[in-house]
Amino acid sequence: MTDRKEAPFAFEGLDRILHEKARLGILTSLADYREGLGFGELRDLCGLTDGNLSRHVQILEEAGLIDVTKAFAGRRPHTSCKLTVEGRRRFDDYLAVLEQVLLRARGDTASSARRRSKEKPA
Amino acid sequence: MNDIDSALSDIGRIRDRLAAGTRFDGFAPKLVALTGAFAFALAGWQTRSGDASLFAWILLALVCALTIGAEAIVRARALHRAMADRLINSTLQRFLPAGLAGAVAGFVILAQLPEHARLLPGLWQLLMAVGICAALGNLPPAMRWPAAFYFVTGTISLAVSGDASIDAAWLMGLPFGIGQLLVAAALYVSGRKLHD
Repeated sequence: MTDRKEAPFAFEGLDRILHEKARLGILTSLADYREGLGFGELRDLCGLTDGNLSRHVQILEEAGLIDVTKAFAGRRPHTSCKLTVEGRRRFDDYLAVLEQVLLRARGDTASSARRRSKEKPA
Repeated sequence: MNDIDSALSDIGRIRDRLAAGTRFDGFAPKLVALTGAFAFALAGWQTRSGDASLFAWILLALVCALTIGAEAIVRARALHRAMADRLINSTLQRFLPAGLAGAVAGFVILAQLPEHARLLPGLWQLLMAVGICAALGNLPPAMRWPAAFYFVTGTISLAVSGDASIDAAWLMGLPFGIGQLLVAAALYVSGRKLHD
């Protein structure tokens, strides 16, 4: 069995909860707003349907990554979401790992390009 | 720019935005409170010895800044993990202009206009207020109270700087002693709220 500590492509830091297109969109949208965003604004920014957004928001809330507040604006219900402290840290940890993956990929691409140019017959 | 470079630049931008809106929890309240105690101690010592030199205050400020800075880096690395360096940079970039202005004002006044040295305590307190206000985006909201305190004491210190009956040591010691204790209290209370 392979030792996981020695597996360079295990990418353990790529959190499964965060590693999903819609949830990445939600977290990226919330990254800019310390006070949070309303459900409607989040839906428009991420291009999701109400149902889809609710499902992903629930998953993120259960994981402790975002706080969901339900209140009333006048007589209308208003739901807002914001990143928790832990959510900010985990999202940044995730982005740091993603950055490392891309930097490694860029290094591999550059070294294979150099190898190909050396292998070319004169 | 290829796809990988473009993706890396996007990630860097998101991480910068994330750091800009995140609270920096690197400052240790106990250490900040200790700098307040040092301010009282130095003012007391200068009153007794009759030596109200501002160079001793500059030395104390340097030692305190280095100690608080070193502790902040260690704490930030443990608390903020991958975000630590970006947060330290973001907080420093906001606070540093006021700090540099204080250093330049101190250097110019002490070297060229030593007869106006009594203006420096008030100026430094005002710049401390400006620095804290500038870094508020990365600091607990309660830090606006110490900033307001420094603003008020800076104004008062400037206004009374011409009154020779007021000991120059206490123009520095009292505001910075109380101000640093207020900063420590704001950090401590905000830290507790965060963990409750």
